[in-house]
Amino acid sequence: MDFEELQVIWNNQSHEKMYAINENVLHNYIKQKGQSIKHTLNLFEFILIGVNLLVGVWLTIESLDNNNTSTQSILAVFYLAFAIYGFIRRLIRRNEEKPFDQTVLGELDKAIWRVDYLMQQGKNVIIWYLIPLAVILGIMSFFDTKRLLLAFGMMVIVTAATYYGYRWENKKFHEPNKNNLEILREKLTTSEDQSFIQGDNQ
Amino acid sequence: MDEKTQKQIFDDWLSQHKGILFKIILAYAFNPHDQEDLFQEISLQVWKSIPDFRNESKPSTWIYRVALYTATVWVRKEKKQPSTQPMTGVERTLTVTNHPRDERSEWLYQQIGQLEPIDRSVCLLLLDGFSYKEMAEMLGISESNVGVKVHRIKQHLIQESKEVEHGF
Repeated sequence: MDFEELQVIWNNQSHEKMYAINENVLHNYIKQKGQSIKHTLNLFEFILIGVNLLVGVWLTIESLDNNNTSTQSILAVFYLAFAIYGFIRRLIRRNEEKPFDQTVLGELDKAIWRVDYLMQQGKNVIIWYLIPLAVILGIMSFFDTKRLLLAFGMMVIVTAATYYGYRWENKKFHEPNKNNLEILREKLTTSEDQSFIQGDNQ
Repeated sequence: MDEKTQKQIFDDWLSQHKGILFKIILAYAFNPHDQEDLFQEISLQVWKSIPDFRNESKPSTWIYRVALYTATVWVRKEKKQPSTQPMTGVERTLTVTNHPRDERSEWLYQQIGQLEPIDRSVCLLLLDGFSYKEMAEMLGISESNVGVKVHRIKQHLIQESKEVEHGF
């Protein structure tokens, strides 16, 4: 057969009714799963900004009321600074997302970028949030109450747990996902005359 | 965009262009469970893409692109972590109609299914009559790259068809 004949076969089957769709079940499924990774990222960012802002404001008010300038003031500045950082990161992310092309390649690039962003965010939270907070609490616990020592101990545990959780999540989900996407990107963009039957070049 | 408008657009697209989705499902998934799974995933991604649609392309081209991308990513994911959940007791979104399929189209789908996921996309677009320029725009690669892929795919299909021609 030549290619035109194959195309005739293809065009004939295009008019066949292959499936019936149960629209109610489909709508229920979409409603249930409709929250995209975009929503997850938004939620993650809003929680991060909101929690830090609230704690920062609360500590500021407390330090002003109690005249406790040292510990609470430093922590208040830290939390507020992190809330501002979260807000700026969010603006940067939204700007960086715009240039992706509306093509299959553009979708792949966007998906790779999002995986990278999620991995980077996890790293940022550990390096720029949990570790500094643990260090601040550690230093202050030398000068302040036993309560801070307990808080410091808890922060060390939380930081360690987050670090191992972050590594596990990356190895289990993000890295394989990114690897998959990069392989697809490579296959899409390469024009070398290589074996292209599935299984030959995995 | 409010949900009501989104639903209206989705329903219109689904009723007008469901044929595109069916072809892609058959080219990427080979059993009822996988076809159901892929159809749901593509429908979901088409739904999510609606607010980003700017009328710069035809809805059919948009749906094709979203569906091809979703299927390509899905097939790699599925290959690594095949789903094992049984379908019994679950309400299905897709039901296979009783329409008897031509054995030659069955064979053609079989051949497409043997290609790499990315090449399946090119093959479907080729069979549906898209030009190199349109394919390049949809996939985000150069026309010459499309040309190389198309050449290989055509050669492969013609070669394979010669081997089974007498069987039809």
